[in-house]
Amino acid sequence: MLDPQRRSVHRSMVVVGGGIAGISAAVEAAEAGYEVTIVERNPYLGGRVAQLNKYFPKLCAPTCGLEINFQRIKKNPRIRFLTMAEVESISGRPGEFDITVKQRPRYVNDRCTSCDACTEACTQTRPDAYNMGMGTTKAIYLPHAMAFPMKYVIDDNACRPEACGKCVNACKYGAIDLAMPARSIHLKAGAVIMATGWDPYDASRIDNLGFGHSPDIVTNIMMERLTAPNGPTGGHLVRPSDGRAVKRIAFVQCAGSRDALHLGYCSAICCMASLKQASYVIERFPDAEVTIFYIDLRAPGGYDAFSRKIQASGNVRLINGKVAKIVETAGDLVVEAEDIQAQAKRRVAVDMVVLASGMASALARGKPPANCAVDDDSFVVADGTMPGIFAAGCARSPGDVSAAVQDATAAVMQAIGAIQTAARG
Amino acid sequence: MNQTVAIQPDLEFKRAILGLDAGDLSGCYQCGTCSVMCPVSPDDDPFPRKEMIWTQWGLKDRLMHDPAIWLCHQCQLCSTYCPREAKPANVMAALREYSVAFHAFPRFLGEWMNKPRYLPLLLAIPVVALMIVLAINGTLTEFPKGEIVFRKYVPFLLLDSVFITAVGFALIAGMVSVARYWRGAVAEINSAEGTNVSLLGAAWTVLRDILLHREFDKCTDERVGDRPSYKTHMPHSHMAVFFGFIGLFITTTGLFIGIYFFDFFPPMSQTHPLKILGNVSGAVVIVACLVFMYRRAVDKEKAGKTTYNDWLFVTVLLLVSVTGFLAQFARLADAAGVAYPSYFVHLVLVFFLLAYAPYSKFAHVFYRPAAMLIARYRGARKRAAGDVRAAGGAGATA
Repeated sequence: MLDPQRRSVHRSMVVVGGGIAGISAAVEAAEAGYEVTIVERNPYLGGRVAQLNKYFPKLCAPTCGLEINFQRIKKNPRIRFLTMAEVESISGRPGEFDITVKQRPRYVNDRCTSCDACTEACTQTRPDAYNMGMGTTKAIYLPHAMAFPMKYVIDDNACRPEACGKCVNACKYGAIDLAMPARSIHLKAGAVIMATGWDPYDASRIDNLGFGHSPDIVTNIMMERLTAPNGPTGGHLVRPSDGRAVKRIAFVQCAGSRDALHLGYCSAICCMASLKQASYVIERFPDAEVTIFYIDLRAPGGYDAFSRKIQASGNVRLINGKVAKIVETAGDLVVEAEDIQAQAKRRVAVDMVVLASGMASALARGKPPANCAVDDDSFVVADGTMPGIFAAGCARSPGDVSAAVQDATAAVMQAIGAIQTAARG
Repeated sequence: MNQTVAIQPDLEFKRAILGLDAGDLSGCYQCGTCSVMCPVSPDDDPFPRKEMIWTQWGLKDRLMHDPAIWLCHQCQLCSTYCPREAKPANVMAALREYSVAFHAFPRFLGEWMNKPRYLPLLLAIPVVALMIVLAINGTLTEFPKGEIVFRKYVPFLLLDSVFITAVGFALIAGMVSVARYWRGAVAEINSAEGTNVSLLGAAWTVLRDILLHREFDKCTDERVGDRPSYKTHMPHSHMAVFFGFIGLFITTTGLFIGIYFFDFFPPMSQTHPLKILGNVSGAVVIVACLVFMYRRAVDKEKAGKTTYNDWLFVTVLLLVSVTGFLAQFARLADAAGVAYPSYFVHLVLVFFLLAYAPYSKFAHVFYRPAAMLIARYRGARKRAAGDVRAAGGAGATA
């Protein structure tokens, strides 16, 4: 029997962000009986994890872990998701939030079968955002081979609908609607989980490291794309500039992290990411020479064993010193640091340089939605000013996939608690 | 490298360095960005990363005999790119200031120079000395009559007896001070393996590089990154003040030779080459000093370490030139009431600048060439030793 004293609350949640933290949270909440809406900015779910070649700690392909979650989303009627959508405002209180979402038009409806006839007809191109700008796609494109939802999308910055429209004629299924409007969607929820994730720190701001001056100076997330089977090189590790095999490679740790001029904090993942990426190089080229320049190598807990394994491979050299200079000479990149143990400057000539650029909060892109308290680095802080709104994953602090998943479960527990507390009045 | 070294931290020394506007030493996490950013730090003995940890650890003895602190030409690139805002450039400047006082002979003058409360006493010495000269000459209570001629106010023989004593004292004190520094630094080199390398050859390259300001040029030419370092004026303003000062030195020496060997007495005509050289040099020094002062005031903490010692030196240098011009213009305008007092102040300041050179920021004229020489010498020895080893190695395998 209903208790007349009980307030009417929404037994639902909105999860902002459909990366690994967001989809984990959504699945957990739905399986605990709550209605969930995921609001995702990209045209696909999976976030940064979908861009990885392999992920920690088992070094399996991310499609595996993501696919399981996508199945759980598909089969659970309590979960719905909005892609190309961003939260505009959040108001209300625990149990009774009103959320306004702006959804950009996809210009492709549910009739799309991913037959690819449209891209053949399309005449315009755009930088391939999924591949971190390495390569292009047509203006109408499938975000990536394993995209979920498996639907094409038109980039309206690249498409010229008034002059062209060739894709519309090419589509046999009537799936393309160039007049599709942007939508404003109002959601009600009992709690909100911010799982907005991270962006790679803009490496071009580290002006002494030459990112942007040579295409062979890449970031760690670009390195994932350059080694991924569905990446711009089909998984062949070659230099972006001339296609030469990358046998000599340098990893520059703390490129932008722990740096008062850039990100003041440790991004937590870069040491392990570089060790992992060293394994990508070694498995391709047994004679590879990998040099990792570091200040302190941070391999917490059980990761130490992984670190030792990579270091024992015989291909990996660790130099204690932060790289401060990278210059291009005679087709090579020369990386310079002070080798602190040897008390001498060291210059190492390599084919490619990977900047272990850190994690910036995605909330640093713009003003976060209302009620969302963030610190100076745009990470969400739980300071009590935003009851009913919880953060998970890299929205809260930089971390790896397993930390984000655990964090998602914790955020769901808190959200359930907030809704139940609100329901009791 | 592997032997155990017992470290005896000198915390008082560390506190003293921090007190000289060194910045936050504890921020440094020893990444070595500074050493790579520094365009003049040698590959086989980089700085200032090691100086940062030596200072953190209070290793005074090592730092006081470290050539690197004087190899730094304070372009500020290390501080500009320091990820911890630990200001290595300030630490290096503070170490230099401390080092000058530490090696000073006699030591108390080194201490007086860095404390504003001793300034009146330091000024009193030349004031009293010159007043005695004036009293002997009978010009203490009234200015000479008639056309303004400074040698009527202070005769050359008396004046030069004061100045030759002062400058001679400064030179000897400076040499003794540098010798203290040099002994420790060279002992360190000799303990390292090496072969005989010509000290004279090294001296020639040092002299050439100083005259051409090559190290300063490296600070602007051999850098990476786009961030302004706030010392970009240094190569030009230092070169101006350097050659301006040499110009004034030539003028004074020329006049000295003229007076004592050729009975050539000032005042010189305004168009005399020596007069023109002196006036142009004085003007150049004034402009350069104003640039130094302006940048230091405007850039504030970005200008690097700023202490009493820094301001005192540039102010005295500026005022020496300004009072020189003031005395000259007043003489030309026939204003005895301004000319003679200006001349008196000018002489006091010249005395201050030269006699106290081993204790002020001016001491870099002693220490920097010495450090450059030690570093070149050591670098050459290291390389020679390395070549010998490399040749031996090649011979062994062949």
